[in-house]
Parts: sequence; structure tokens; C-alpha cells
Amino acid sequence: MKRLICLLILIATLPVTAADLFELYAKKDYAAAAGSLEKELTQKPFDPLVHYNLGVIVQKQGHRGEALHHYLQALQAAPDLKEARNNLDTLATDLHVTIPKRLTEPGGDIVPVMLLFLVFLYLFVGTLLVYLARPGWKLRLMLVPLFMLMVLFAVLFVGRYRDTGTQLYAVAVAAGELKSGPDTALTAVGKVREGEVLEITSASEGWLKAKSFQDNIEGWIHASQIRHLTRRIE
Amino acid sequence: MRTGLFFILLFVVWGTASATSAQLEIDRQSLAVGDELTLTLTIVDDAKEDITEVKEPDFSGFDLENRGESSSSSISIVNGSMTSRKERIVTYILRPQRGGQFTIGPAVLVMEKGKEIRSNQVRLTVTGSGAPQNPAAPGTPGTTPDTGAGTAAAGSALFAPLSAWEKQTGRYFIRVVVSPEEPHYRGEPLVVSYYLFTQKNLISDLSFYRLPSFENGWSDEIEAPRKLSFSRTNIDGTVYDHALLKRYILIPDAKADRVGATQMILDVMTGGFFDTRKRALSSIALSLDLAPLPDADKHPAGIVGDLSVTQSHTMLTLDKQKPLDTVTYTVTGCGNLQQLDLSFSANSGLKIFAPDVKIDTQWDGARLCGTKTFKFMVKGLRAGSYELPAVTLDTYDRQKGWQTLATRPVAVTVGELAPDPAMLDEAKRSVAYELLRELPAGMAVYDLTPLTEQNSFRIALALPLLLLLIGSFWWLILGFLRTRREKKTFILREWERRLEAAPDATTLLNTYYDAVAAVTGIALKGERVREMEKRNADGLQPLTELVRDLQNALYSGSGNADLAALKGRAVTLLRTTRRRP
Repeated sequence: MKRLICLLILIATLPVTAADLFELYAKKDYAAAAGSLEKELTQKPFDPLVHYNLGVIVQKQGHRGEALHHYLQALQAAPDLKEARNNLDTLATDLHVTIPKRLTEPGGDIVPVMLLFLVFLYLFVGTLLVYLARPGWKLRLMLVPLFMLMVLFAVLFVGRYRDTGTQLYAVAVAAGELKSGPDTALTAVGKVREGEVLEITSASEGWLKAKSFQDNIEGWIHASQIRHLTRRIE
Repeated sequence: MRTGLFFILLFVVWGTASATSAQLEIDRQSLAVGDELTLTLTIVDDAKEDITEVKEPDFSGFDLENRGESSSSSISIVNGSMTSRKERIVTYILRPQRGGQFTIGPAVLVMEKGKEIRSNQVRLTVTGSGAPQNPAAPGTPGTTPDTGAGTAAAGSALFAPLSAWEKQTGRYFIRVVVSPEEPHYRGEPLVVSYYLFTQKNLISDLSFYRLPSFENGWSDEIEAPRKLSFSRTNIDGTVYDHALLKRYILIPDAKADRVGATQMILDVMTGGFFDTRKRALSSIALSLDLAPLPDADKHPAGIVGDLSVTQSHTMLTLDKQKPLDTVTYTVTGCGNLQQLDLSFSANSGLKIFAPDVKIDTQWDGARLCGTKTFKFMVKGLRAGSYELPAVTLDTYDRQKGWQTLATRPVAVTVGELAPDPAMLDEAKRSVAYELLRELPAGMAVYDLTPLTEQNSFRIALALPLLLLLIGSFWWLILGFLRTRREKKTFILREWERRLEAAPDATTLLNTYYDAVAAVTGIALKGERVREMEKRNADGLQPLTELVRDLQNALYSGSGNADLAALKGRAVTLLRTTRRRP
């Protein structure tokens, strides 16, 4: 009996299969379908298919800002997913928001920089080891430019990684206000539309300092009003 | 204004001068009724005494059409004495009202001390006895027509008895005349004229402090004389000079029940040269009730005007080569062109853009007339035959009543059209895709896991650091071993040198004891051989044999003879014996 109960609990907590999802969708049980996909997202946080499908479902629920976030997130992992791009464009037009072009294009050339950094790191370490074993002025002379090149590409890599890395962009899931500081009691300096893309500049106790792409106003917004966007790094 | 001009500058100059005088002259001695007469009054001022007042001659029997003034001054020094002379010339344009013999003058100059200087008189003959051409003779109230808009209708209003507002100032006031007269209709263009009325020589100068602003309608200034042109009239037995200040066209909004205007306010200078005073003079605030046009319920979209309409096309053909064309409607005439509007309802096969509207109106002295053009751009959306319907306009004119203008319908034939990329894109975007079971095959999917969380990146970054760590450790150990070896070799060399340097067998024995202890850690000195052998079983025998040989050599006294051989053995043993723990 105990084994049976355990099995039932296990089955209940298993993610919903694709067949179940489409069944729920057909029955218009969007809440359950969204719940199952969100559960799946905890396992595969960047799966473009899950994000796309979740976008479709939350859009049906009327959460257009959240849907826009999921489409945009799906396009980060699968930039050729035309369904996501189509739905994103339609939604952006409906919401009168502008999607920055850089968010629908490849994330940048961080991989070459990273490879160059690693190459120079290995060269420097190798040369240093050889020098330790057999010291000589030629090796010592080689170490200086190798070290400088390694540091240069390390700085470039860190800078680009920060630019194209995570947590720098977010989507407002509901219309709201940008405050002058991290508190609801403070005055509003601007407004954000539902689905508007924000650039995050800093954070403080659940509040984020964000700059609106729409009208270039900078202000504070509570973390619950936005969804972070994880960008693709190529 | 005119009075002030007479009381001008007076200089006090010492010296000889010509006497102050006044002279009247006319340009001709005889003329007909209706002709113009120019009368010139020349005042020569010797500047010895101030002129306090100039009494103009009486112009009874004449209308004063215009009045102008000029002045000049000169200073000369003769035999050391300075002479100042000022001359003023006042020119009057007069028009006789009737025939007969007339005498004009004299003009009188009143000097500061009360002395009066009289000018000469002029005589002239006016031929003809017809009725005066300008009926604005003093004593015939309200007969001078307004020469501006709506002349006949406004005439009586312009010369109407003074209202309560006008009586407040009485001697000068601003009168507002609106034409056409009541009833004023909604949307009907109105002409609003502001006149200054003043008794003779009261106002010397004026400036506009505030102009009227109109509400509930479109307005424009249509007349603003640079120089006021005064005419004389008689209202309620009082002679006034009056001149037009400003004239506006006012078109009330189509649905407005009332139009109004704020007050016009003038700053006027009154009084003589020495007691000039600045006063504010304001008009009434205008408020006019508007009535609906007659039979307005039958013509709900009717406008006021006497208009005609023409159109550029009655047929259009649109196709791939020419998907767009323009139809122009031109409305010409007088009336409310500002509020005239043309529009078309939506057409399924055509896109009719909002018209490009241009209006060009001019004031023709009585009405606002001009042209309004509507350029409609028409674009074909689907192949087929369509029609721009006829446009009808109901216009109302006071004289002609209601009229209906109608354009002809425009037949539009739309042929095969090129697909519109914008529309295709719009149509495509309007479709929202549904759920996907799987991603399309072969689609590139990127891993978005941050680099810092990727194991491959972590390993790639950690490997060289690990190698560096291991290499450093290895280098440190090697260095330690090398140092230790070098130290040991140094100690061995030192003891070898000492053994070689021993001068006798006794010193050699003692040095050997110390060297063995230092290099191998074996203490030979003071130990019994048996005990030593017991402790250091392996390899100790050669050491103890050398000790015995050295001791034997000492006891036998032959030690020094074999010293070199013993030194050699000691050095060899020291090199070959391994260190004991």
C-alpha cells in the first residue's frame, strides 16, 4: 500500500507530457497548461520550445507582457523560430512597444575573444612552466608579451561577457511607473508600458534601476513587475 | 489729436526776429460743388512769445476731407545776434456742400500774454447748387455711409445715436459696427468694424493697448489703416470726426449659439500742448446671439455662401502601373469657405486618403471670397469597378436663399494590382501561431547557460591554473633538493680540504673523527669499536679499519711516514660512505 501511494505521488509530481499539454490547451485549461510548462522550465530554463509554448498560453490568458518575454526568450535560444518572431512582432505592435534590434540578433562575438583569452592563458602558463624548469632569458622575454596579451583579452572577454551576459535586460510584464528611488512612496519619473523592454543598470533590495528603451527614462521598478531576459552568447 | 499738433514747441530766443504771423491761402478762387479745395494756413513763429492756442477758421459750408501738417525751423546769427524762426504749414482739403460766395477765416493765434494775432481771410466762389455729394453735412445726423463692408446696412448703425456705453465718455468713444445686421446666423461670416468717434480736436494721438480677441469662431483682420482718415458727421446735434480703426472678418462656428469679442482698448492723448493727458478708451465687449439658418432642419449640413464647385475627373483607371490617382474638387465663391468640408465614406475596393486641403481667400471690400481645393488621393485595393459618389453641398445666401451644389460621381476602374508588401506583412502579422509540438528539424538551438555555469568553460579556465600550481610546487621541490645537495657537497669539500691539510697523524685522526661525524653522522671518537659496529653494522668496517690504522701508526711512530696514504684513504672513505640517519 505504501509503495502504491508513493507511486501515485511520483506520477502526480511528474511533468506533464506533450500529449497532456495539447489536451489541456484544447480544453482551454490554460492555467494548468501554463503550470505544467513552468514546472518544465525549472528543469530546462532556456528551452526555446517551452518558452514559445508558454508564451502562446499566457497570451491566451491575457498576460501579453509575459508572453512577449517568453517569445523574446525563445528567440534568444532559437533565433530562427519564425513562429516566435511572428508572435513577438504582432504583440509588440499591439502593445505599441519597440523591441531593441540587438535582442533579436546574435549576442555578439564573445567566443573568439574567449578563445583568444584561453589560448594566451595556456601559452603563458606553458611558457612559465618551461621557464621554471629551464630558466633562460629568451623565455623570460617571451613571458612579458604573453602576459600582456592574456590580460588584454581577459579584460575584453569580461567586458563583453558583461554586455551580453545575463540579467541586463528585462521585460515589464505589466504597465507601471518608474520611481525616483527604490520605494513605492517615492515620486514617479516615468511610465513603463506592458511588454516594454528595460535595460537594468543596478539593483537594491528587490528594486531594480532600469532604463526604458521607449523614452530613455531611467528609474526604479520593483522586481516583481519585470522578467529578466537571458541573452544568447555566441 | 489735431489739437495737440497745434500746441507745439516754443523756443525762447533772444535777438532780433520777424513778427509772429498767420497766413491763409487757397489753391483757387472758384470751383464747382463737389470739387476739392486746398486751403493752407502758414504760421510763422518768431519764438519770442509762446503760442498757447491756434483757432482754426470756420469751415461752415464745407466738408473737411483731410488735414495735414508740416513744420520747419531755422536759426541764423547776424552780427553776433541769433535769430530763430519756426514755420508750420497746415493744409486742409475741403469740399463745398453748396454753391455761393464763401469767406474762410480768419485763423487766430492766441499768444501767451493773451494777445491775439489774426490771419487774413480768403474769398472764393462755388458754382452749382446741387445737393451735396457727401451727405455727411453737419446737422444731418446718421446719413454718412460706412465706406466699408456692408455699407448700406452698416450706415445706420455707424451713425446711430450714442449708446449708454458711448455716453460715458461722450466726447470721444469707440463704436463697434457689425454687418450684416441682425439676425446673425450660425456660420455666417460677419464683418466687425471698430470706429473712433471724437469731437473736434480732442485727441492728439492714440495707440492700441489691447486688440479684441474673438471667441467661438474664426477671425482675421481684414483692414487696418496705417493713417486714420477722419470724416465728419453729426450725431444728435454734435459734430464728430470718425475714422476706421480696425476691421475684422468673423466666421462663427457652425454650432455656436453666440460669438463674442473682448474689448478693444486704446491709449489716447487728450488736451493741449501743456496739459496733455493719457486716457484709456475702450469699446464694448461684443456678444452676438446667433440664430440657426432659415430652414436649417431641412439642410442640416448647409453652410453660408454663394459658391460653385468643379471637379477634376469623372473617371479614374487604376492598375499595376498606376495604383494611385488624385481627384480634385474646387469650390469657388464667397462665404464660409473655412467651414466647408468634403469627405467620402469608406470603400471596400478603394482607399481614399484624407484630402490635401488648400484655401485661398481674399477680402474684396464687401465679402470674403476665394477658392478651396480638396485633393483626394485614391488607391486601388482590389480589382473591380467602384464609384466615388456625387458630393452635394447646401449653401445659403441672404439674397439667393438655399441652393444645392452637386458634383458628378467619379467612376473608378481598378485593374490588376501588384501585391502590396505592407499589406502582406500586415496580414501575416495578424496571424498568431499556436502551440508547437517540437522545434523544426535542423534548427540551430543555442545553449543559454551562462559561461560561468558551463563545466567546459570551468575546466578550460581551471586547467592552466592547476598546471601552474603543480609546476610551481615542482619547481619549489626541485629547488629545495638542489640547495640541499649543494650544501652537502660544500661540507664534503671543506672536510676534504681539512684532511688534506692535516700536518701530522694526530691532527689527521682528530680531523677524521670530526669529518666522519659531520658528513655521515657517525660518531667515531670516544666510542668502543665493538659498540659502534653493533649500532652501525653495514659499511662501518672500512671506517673503523682506518681508525685502527691511524692509531697503530701513532703508537708505532711511523704515522707521519704513511701520512699521505692515510689522507687518501680518509678522503675516499668520506666520499663513499653514505650518511646514517
